[in-house]
Amino acid sequence: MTLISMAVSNIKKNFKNYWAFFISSTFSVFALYLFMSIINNKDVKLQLGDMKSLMILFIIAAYMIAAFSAFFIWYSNSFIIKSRKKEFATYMLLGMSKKQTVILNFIENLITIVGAFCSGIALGLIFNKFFIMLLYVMIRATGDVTFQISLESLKFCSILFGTMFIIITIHSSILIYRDNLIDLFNSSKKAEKGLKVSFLTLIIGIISMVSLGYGYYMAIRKLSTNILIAPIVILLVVIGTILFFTSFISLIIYINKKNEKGLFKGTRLIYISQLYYRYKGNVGTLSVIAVTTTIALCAMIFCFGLFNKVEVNSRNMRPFSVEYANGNNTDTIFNDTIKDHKEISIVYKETMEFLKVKAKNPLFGTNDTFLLLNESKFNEVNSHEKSGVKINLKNDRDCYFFQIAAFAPDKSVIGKEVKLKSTNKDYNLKITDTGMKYFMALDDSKPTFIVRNSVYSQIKGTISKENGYKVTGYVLNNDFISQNFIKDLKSEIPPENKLLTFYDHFKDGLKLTGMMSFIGLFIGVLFITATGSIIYFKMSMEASEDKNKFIILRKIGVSTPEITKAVSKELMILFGAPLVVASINTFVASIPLGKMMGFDITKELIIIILVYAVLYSIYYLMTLKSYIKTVSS
Amino acid sequence: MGVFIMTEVLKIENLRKVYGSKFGGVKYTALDNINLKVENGEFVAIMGPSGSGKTTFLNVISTIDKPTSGSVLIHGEDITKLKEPNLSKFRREKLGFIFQDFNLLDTMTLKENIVLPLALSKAPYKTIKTKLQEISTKLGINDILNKYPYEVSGGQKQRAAAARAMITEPSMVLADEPTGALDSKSSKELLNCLENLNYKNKATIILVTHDAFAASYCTRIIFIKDGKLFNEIYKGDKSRKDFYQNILKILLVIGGDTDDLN
Repeated sequence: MTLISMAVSNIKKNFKNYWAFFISSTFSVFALYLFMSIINNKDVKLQLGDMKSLMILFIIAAYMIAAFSAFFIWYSNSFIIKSRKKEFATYMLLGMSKKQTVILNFIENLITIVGAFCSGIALGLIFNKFFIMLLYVMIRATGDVTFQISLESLKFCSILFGTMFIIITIHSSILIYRDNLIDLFNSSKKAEKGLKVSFLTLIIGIISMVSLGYGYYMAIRKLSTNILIAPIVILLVVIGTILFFTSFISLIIYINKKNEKGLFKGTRLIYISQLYYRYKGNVGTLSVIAVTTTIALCAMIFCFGLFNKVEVNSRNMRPFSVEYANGNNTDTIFNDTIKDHKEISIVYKETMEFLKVKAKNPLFGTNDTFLLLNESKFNEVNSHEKSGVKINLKNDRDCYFFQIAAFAPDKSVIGKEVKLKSTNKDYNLKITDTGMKYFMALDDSKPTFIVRNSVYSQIKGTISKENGYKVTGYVLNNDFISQNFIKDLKSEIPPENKLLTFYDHFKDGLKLTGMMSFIGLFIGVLFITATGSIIYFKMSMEASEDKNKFIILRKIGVSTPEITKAVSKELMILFGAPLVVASINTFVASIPLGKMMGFDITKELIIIILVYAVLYSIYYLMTLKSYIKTVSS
Repeated sequence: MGVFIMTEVLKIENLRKVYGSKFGGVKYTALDNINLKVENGEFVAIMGPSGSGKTTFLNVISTIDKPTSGSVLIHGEDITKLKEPNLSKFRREKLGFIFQDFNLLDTMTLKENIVLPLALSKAPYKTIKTKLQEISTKLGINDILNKYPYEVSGGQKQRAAAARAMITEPSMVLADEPTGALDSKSSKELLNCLENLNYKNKATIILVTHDAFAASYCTRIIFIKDGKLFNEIYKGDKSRKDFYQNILKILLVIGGDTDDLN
C-alpha cells in the first residue's frame, strides 16, 4: 500500500469526524471568493455609483473572513492531530518512520484542503451570479449581472489557503516529530483529570459576575450617551464572559457534583460526573465560542436592524421630502420643475427663517454660532412632521435647546443660563427643556435655540440681513416615486443652496445597510458552521474516548434511553451555555445599539437569535446523534 | 442446611445455546441441555476448563445473551422473554455484577460508582445513604469512598465493585473471575468479604472462576464440561482445606486448571 492510498483510505474512514470541518472550510473559501469577486466586479461598482467607497466594507469583511478561517483551520488542525496521535504511534510501531508519518499527514492535509478549496471555488463560481443578484435585491439595484470568473479573487484565495496549508503542515510535522512513541500513545490518556476548584475559583467567579454586571450596567446606562467608553464595555464583557466559563460554570458544576442529595438522582449522576471530568478540557473552546457568537449576533443585529429601519432612519434624518436653503430663486425653480412631474404633489410647504447668534455653548463652554427660531414655527413644523414634539415656553426668558448629539440628548443643560450675543444687545435665557428630535435635515443644521415669538422678533429687528438664514422644506405625497423629479431638481438647484432629499438618503441608506446585511449574513453563517464544527469535532473525539464508560454503564443495567438522556443533557449544557451567554450579551448590546440608532430593534433581536439558535440546534442534534452512535456500537 | 426455609432464586430448564446457525456456518453447541436450581442464600461456583461454556452460561443468566432454547427463571420470572428497556431495569434491580476488570467508571468517585444503580432507580436519598453506609462498612471501604478508582488498589476497586453489585440487594450476584486481576492477599480479602455477605446477608452469589482457591470459599461447586453439567459437589461440613483438595481432584479429571497451564 502506498502512502497516497493509505491517506485516501484514512480520509474516507475519518470522514464522519471531518465533514463538519470540511463544510466550514468550504464555506470560508466560498465566502472569500464571493466577496473578492464582488470587490472586483465592474457591474457592482457601476451600480454603487457615488457610493463606491462602500466597497471598503467588503474588503474589511474579506479580511475578517480570511483571519477567521486561518484561526479556524489552525484550531481544528491542532484538535485533529491531538486525536490522531495514537494512530500515528501505531503506524510508527509497525515500522513506519517519522518522516513517512509526516508525509502521510501532509498528503491527507493536502487532499482535504485542496478538496475544500476546490468545492468552495466551485460553489463560488456556480452561485456567484445568484448571490450578486441577491445583493442587488438587498440594495434595490436594478441591472444585469454577467457571469464572471474573477482571477483576482482566485489568486487571493489560493495565496491564503496555500499559506494556511503550509503553516498547518509545519505545525503538524512539529507535533509529530517532537513527541516520542510513548508520548504519542499516552496523549489521549493524560487528557482531563477532573475539575480543580479552590477558593481562587470562587473569587474569579465573583469577579466574572462583577465584570459582566458592570459591563452590562455601563452598556445599558452610559454607552448611548458616551460612545467613548465602548472599548471598556467590550473589554469588561469579553473578560467577564471568559472568566464566567473558566470559573463560574466550573463552580456550578462543582457544587452540583458535591451536593449528593441532588446528584444521586437518576441520570444526573452520570452527566454531572461526565461534565465534572470533561469540563476543564472544554473551557477554552466554550469561551471562544461564546465570544465569537456574541460578536456574530451583535454584528447581525446591527446590520439587519439598520437594514430594516432604513426608512424610519431616513425619516428621522430628513423629516422633509425636499429641503433647501432659500435663495437664488430656488422657489421658482422648484415650482417650475414640479410642473413637469404630474405624479408629484406637495402636501405641505414651510419656510423657516433662522437667526444666527453667537453664544457660549452650554455643553462645551466654547463660543459658537447658534441658530434661533420662534416657538410657534417650531411647533407648527413639528406637528406637520408628526414628530410628537411640542414645546410650551412659559416666559420670555425661557428657551428650548435643540442639540445635535450623537445618540441621546444630554439632559444636564436643563436649567443652565445662556447669553445670546446679538449685534448690540445680549439676551439672557434659561434652558427649560432640550431635545434632539430632528425637525429639519441635520446635514446643514446647527444647535438651535427656540424662543418665544416676542423675543424672536425683538432679536430679528436688531440683526443684519446676512445673519438671517431661510430654509424651505416640502413634504411630498409619495417619496418613493420621486426619483425622476429629484434628479431634475438636483440639476437645477445650485449646490450652494444645499438641496437635501429624503429619497437620496433612503437610497444611500439602502445601499449601505443592504451591503452590511449581505456581509452580516455570510459572517453569521460562517461563524455558525465554524463554531458548530468545532464542538462537533470535540464531542466526537470525546465520544470515542468514552466508549468504554458506556459499555460499563450498559453492563450494569443502564438502558439506552437513559444513556441518550444523560448524553443529551451533557451536550445540551456544553452547546447551550455559550449560546445563552452570547444571547444575553447580545440582548444587552442591543439596548444601546437601539438607542444609538434611534429605534427599537427588539423584533430583529428576537428573530436573529431564534434563527441562529435553530441553525445551532441542528449542529447540536447532529452531534448528539453521532455521539450516541459512537457509544452504542 | 435446612435450618431456614429455602426459596428458589434461579431455575434453569433445558437450556441450550447454539452458535453459528444463523448464517449457515458450522454449528457449535456452547450449552447443551442444562438444568439447574439455585436456592436463596447459596454461594455457588461455576468451574470448568476454557471453552467449556462458563462464559456463555454467565452471559445467558445475566441477560446479556439470549439462549437458543430453554428457560431461565429468576424469582419465577422468565428473563429470556424480557425486552428492553425492562431488561435493563431487571438487570439493574435484580442482578449484581462483579467483573474481572472491575468496570468502575473513572469519572466517578468510588461512592458515586457504588450508588449509581440506586440513583438510576431514583431511590430516596436517605435510603441511598443508609445502604451505602451499611455495605461500605461490610466491605471495609468506608475511608476511601471519596477517592477515584485510579487512586486506590486493585483489591479496593474490586471491593467497591462488589459494593455496587450488592447495594441494590439483588436476587443474585454474578461474579465473573473477580479475583482474576488481584494479588493473593487482595483475593483473600475479597473472598472473605463475599463469604461474609453470603453468610450474614444471605446474599445469593454465583461465581465463575478458574481458581480452585476462590471456589473453595463457596458452598457448592458446579463443573461444566463441553457445554454440559459434569458434576457438582457441596462443601457441607468439610473444612475449606479439604474442600479445596476435593475441587483439585475433580479438576484433574475434567482437565481444568492444569489444562490451561499448558
